[in-house]
Order: sequence, then C-alpha cells, then structure tokens
Amino acid sequence: MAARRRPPPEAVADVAVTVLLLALFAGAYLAAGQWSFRAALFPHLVTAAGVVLTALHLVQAVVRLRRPAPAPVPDDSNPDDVEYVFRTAGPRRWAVALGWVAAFFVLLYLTGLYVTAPVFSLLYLRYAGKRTWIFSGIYAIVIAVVLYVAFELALGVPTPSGLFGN
Amino acid sequence: MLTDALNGLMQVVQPAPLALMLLGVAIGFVVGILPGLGGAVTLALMLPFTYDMQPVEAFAFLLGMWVVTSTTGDITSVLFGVPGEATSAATVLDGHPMTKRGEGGRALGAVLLSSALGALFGAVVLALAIPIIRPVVLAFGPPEFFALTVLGLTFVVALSGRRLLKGFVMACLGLLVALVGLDPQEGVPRYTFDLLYLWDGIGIVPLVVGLFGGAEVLQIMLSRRSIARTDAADTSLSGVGQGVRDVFRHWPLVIRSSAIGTGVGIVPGLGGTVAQFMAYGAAQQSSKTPEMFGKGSIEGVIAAGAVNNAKDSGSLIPTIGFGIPGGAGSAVLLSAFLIVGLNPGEEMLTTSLDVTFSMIWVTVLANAVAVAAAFLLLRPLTRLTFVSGPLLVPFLLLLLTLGAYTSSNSFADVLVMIGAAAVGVLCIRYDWPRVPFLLAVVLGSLAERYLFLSHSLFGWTWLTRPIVMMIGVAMVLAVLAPTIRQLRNRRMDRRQRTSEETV
Repeated sequence: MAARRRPPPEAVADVAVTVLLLALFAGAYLAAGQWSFRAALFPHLVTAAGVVLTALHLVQAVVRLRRPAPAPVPDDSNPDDVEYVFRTAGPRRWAVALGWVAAFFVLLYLTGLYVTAPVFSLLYLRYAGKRTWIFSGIYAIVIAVVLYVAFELALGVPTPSGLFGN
Repeated sequence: MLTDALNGLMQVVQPAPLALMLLGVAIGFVVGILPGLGGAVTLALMLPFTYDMQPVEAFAFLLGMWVVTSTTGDITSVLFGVPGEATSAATVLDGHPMTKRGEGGRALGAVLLSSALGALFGAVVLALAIPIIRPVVLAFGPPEFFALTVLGLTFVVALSGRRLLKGFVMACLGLLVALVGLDPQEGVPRYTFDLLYLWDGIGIVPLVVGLFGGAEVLQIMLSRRSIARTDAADTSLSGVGQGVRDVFRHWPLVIRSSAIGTGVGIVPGLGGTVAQFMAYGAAQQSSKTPEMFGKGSIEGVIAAGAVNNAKDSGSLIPTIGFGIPGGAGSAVLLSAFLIVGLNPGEEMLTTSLDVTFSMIWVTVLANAVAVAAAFLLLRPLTRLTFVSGPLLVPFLLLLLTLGAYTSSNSFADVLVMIGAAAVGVLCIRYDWPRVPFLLAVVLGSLAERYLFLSHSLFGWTWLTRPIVMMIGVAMVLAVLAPTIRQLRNRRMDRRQRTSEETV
C-alpha cells in the first residue's frame, strides 16, 4: 500500500487561515448585536455573508486536505517570482529579514525619522549588505541630508519625531 | 464654443500661467512619486497660494499639479512595486513583474504613453460633454451609485479566477475593515475597541502602501537581489520604444480603459481606485491571454495607465457642471473655484466658458510636459532597478514609512501599514487575492451610505430601476464569464485528449 503523503503546507495553512477568518466574522457578527438596528444592519449583512462564504471555503479546504496529496511535480516556478521567494526562503532568512524590519520600526518609534534613517542605513548596509564602513557611512549621511532637505526645509511636511524626540 | 476654446488656449500660453503650470507640474511630479503625499492633500496645501492669482493662473498651477500625480504615481508602482498614489495600485500588478524581468523600460514607456493618451481622451470628452452633462448626472441617484460600487467589487472579485470563493471572502474582510469607525447613520463607534484613532476608520493610504509595498520590500530583503533580475545592457531605451509601440498596437484597449476612467470619474464619490480596477478587470476579460494578468501583462499596464488620467478629467465634469465634486481632488478644486470667484454650473458653462476651456487645455499640456519629462528621466529611473537589493532596502522602508505617516501625521498609520504589509505577505504566501480586499475597504462605507439612502428614498423598489437592473446584469456576466470560459477550455482540453488517445 502506498504511504499516504503529508498534505502540502499551503493546504494546511488554507484551513488554518479559514478557521481564523470564520472566528473573526462570527465574533464581529456577535459584537454587532450590541448596537442599534440601523448601526448593526450593514455589519450584520457583511459578517453573515462572511460566515457563510468562509464556512463554504472551509469545507473546500478540508476536502482538499483529506484528498491524497498528488505526486510531487517538478517545480517550474520562476525563481524571481515573489511567491517563489517567499516559499523557498528558509526560516533563518525569514527571521533575519523580519528582525531587521522590526529593528527599523522600533528605532523609528523611539528616535524618529532623522535618527533612524542614517543609523539603520549604516548598520543594514554594513551587516546585511556586507558593504564597507565608509560606503555605508556615506550612504547614511546622504540619505539623512536628502530627507532633511526634502521634508523639513522644502516641503515642510511633518515626519515621525520619536518618543525621545517628543 | 470654438471661440471660447481658442480664447482659453490663448490665456494658458501667456508667460504667467505657463510658468505657474510648469511649477505645478514639477511639484506634482515629486508628489506623485512619493507615496502618501496624495494629489488631493497637496492641492489643499497649495490652495492658499492661489488667493491673489487670476482664475486662469490659479487653475494652471493647481491643475498642472493635480493631473500629473496620477502619471508619476505609476512610476514607483512599476519600478518598486510601491504605489505612488492609491490610484496607482493596479499598475503594480503587472508593471512591477515586468520590471523584475528586466522590462521596466517597456512597462514605463507603455504606462506613460497610455496615461498621456488617457488624459487626452478625458479632455476631449470633457470638452464635448459640456452641453450634455446635466441630464446624465441627474439620472444617477443613490440606487445607481450603490449598484456601481457593487459592480466595481464584483469585477475585481471575478479577477480572482479559480480562487473565486477566496476572492469573495477577502471582499467580505475588506468590507468588515471598512466598517471600523463611527457609524455614519447614528455615530455609534463600531469595532473601535475604545481607541480614539479608530473612530475615523482605517486610512486607505497606509493600507495601500503596506498591502502592496510591504511584500516587495520583504522580497528584496529575502532574496538580496536587485529588483530587475536580467542584466540586459540596454534594456531601458529599447524597452521604452517597445512599450510605446505596444500602446499603439493595443489602441482599442487604450480607448476602452480611458472611456471607463472618464465614465467612472463622472460619477461623484466613486473614486479612482474603482475606475482602475474596473478597467483592469475589463482588460483581462477581453484579453486573449488573461492568464498573464498579474504576472507581467503589457495589457494590464496599458489599461491601468490609461484609466488614471482619464478619470481626473471625468471627475471635473460634475464639478464644473453642478459643483458636485467627482472626487477628493475635485472637491479641493471646487474650493478654488469659489476663492477666485467662479461659480460652477451655468456661469462656467456660459459666461466663463473660456476659463473652463483653459482648464481643459491645462490638463492636456501639463500631462504632455510631465510625460516628456518622465521619458527624459526614464534611463536613470530604470537604472535604479538594477541597483543591488540591500542598497534599496533602507530607501524603500523610508518610502513606505513616509507614505503611511504623511497621510494624517500619526504613527498609528505606520502601524496600520505594518499590519497591511503582514496581510499582503500572507496573501501572497498562501495564495489569497489582495485586490478584492483593498477595493472592498475603499467601497465599504460608500456602499453602506448609498444602500441606506436608496432604502430610505425608495423602499425596495430601487431594485427595479432600469439602470440598476442593467448594472445587475453586468455583475452576473462579470462573475459567470470567467467561469464559463474555464469550463469551455476544460471541455476543449478533454476533447483534444480523447481524440489524441483514439489516434
């Protein structure tokens, strides 16, 4: 008897996401019950439709999950496609990329734009981009100057000032 | 009318209006490229500078700025996958994949020329529509507006192809997000979790920027490669010529998309996001290669480019004719009319008709100047896409941040952008369509308002109004057509396989 292949992660994720959405729509439907009729009418229509459609999709996703997984086919995806990159990047690369993104926004929240831009640029180019300190430093200074001239002096547009900036 | 048209042109080509128009074009060029600094917001910021100007000078400056933002917003959509304007989101879907293939020049050439032609089409329609706009706009009431919003949503859900059910689920999710905020009927806070920020609802600009731009930046961080993969030496210039030829080859598509843009732009309140996705959806349905859409189809780029500028001219029609703004930008322009002492309606269609025509000439000339400037800058712009990925990451993260923050100067918008980016990444990773979600967020509050008005004014008889029923038929066809096409293709494949087996 052929061994049953494990379902692909996409099929499992489909079920998980659908269950989450079903819970979201159901919760939203119940929350709308606390409002007046006029305020709750459209939310009830939308969330009820959401519950029905998500339930239908859950059935479809579960059926797909229980179906025997097809034999693996050669992957002919384009390696430049964003779907391919997301699918094939390993957990370590994801962790590193998300770590840098988190560092950027935490720094932005704490120190504001005019500190974050040069500091993040310097560190990212040096450690993730493997550039020299001089190259990274020049890039950081240029980006800070361009931002300041464009947004502070020329356009006069407010930018995030950060917790410590306030 | 011809005399007024020529007088209008003569007034525009004077030194002062011409100089102000060029200044407006330069500002609009930069604003369009920077996500978050929308055309309407910039119009509002520049409005005080027009207090002392003559009417033609004021509109040369303001319109020169406004009409250019749609064109240049498409540039960052194509090159970086980050929409420069909320109305440039559809351009990302096919323009950016083309850039990744090293065809950024071709995509830019196509989008810029189709934008210019769309602007020309819209301007011609605006000029010809002047005698006939009144009965057309007055025929549309809340039921027709509601039907149009649902039609726009249906078109976009139908784009999901074989993921139709997922498309509908994402549309419901988008409608749910649109419900966050104060209820428009009774002022009840809905899904706000006691947060004052959420009383105004979820901002569209941070949502769009995060949903589309976030995934692109993350892709570059994961792959550490440049945006464009192929290293063709002179891709930029030869690609531009190819893009221009593509536009002329697909001239019926340009006209159809421009017509959709102008038509939707005429309807007050619907906005450019609806127009672009309706045109995009129509282009896919009529294409011989619909499966290429979303993967770098030149037809998708052309459709998205043409519709953007055409809708700006369309939105001027009810603004000039009745003082009913077609969108946010034309609402600000309406204030400008009043500041310079012009009254929309009869005055602008009779005694001040030359000023009206000068506005039409400005939309044509400003677009021509912006497109020419963009073509001159194409080589350095497309070269940016071959720059190594890590060099672009800080720049793109800053672009996303500023795009989100500047919409209302609140850090909470940056958090919305991050959330939207997470949704966008998950959608791509697990094959859920993003576009129905976005459009439902845009249309949700409009749909609710029109539904309530329709029911209050007409009970349920609004469902039997002729235009509503025609739009209903179009909705059914939009959903059924791709399904029927798929079934027909499957039957043909089966027949072909059977005949091969019997041979």
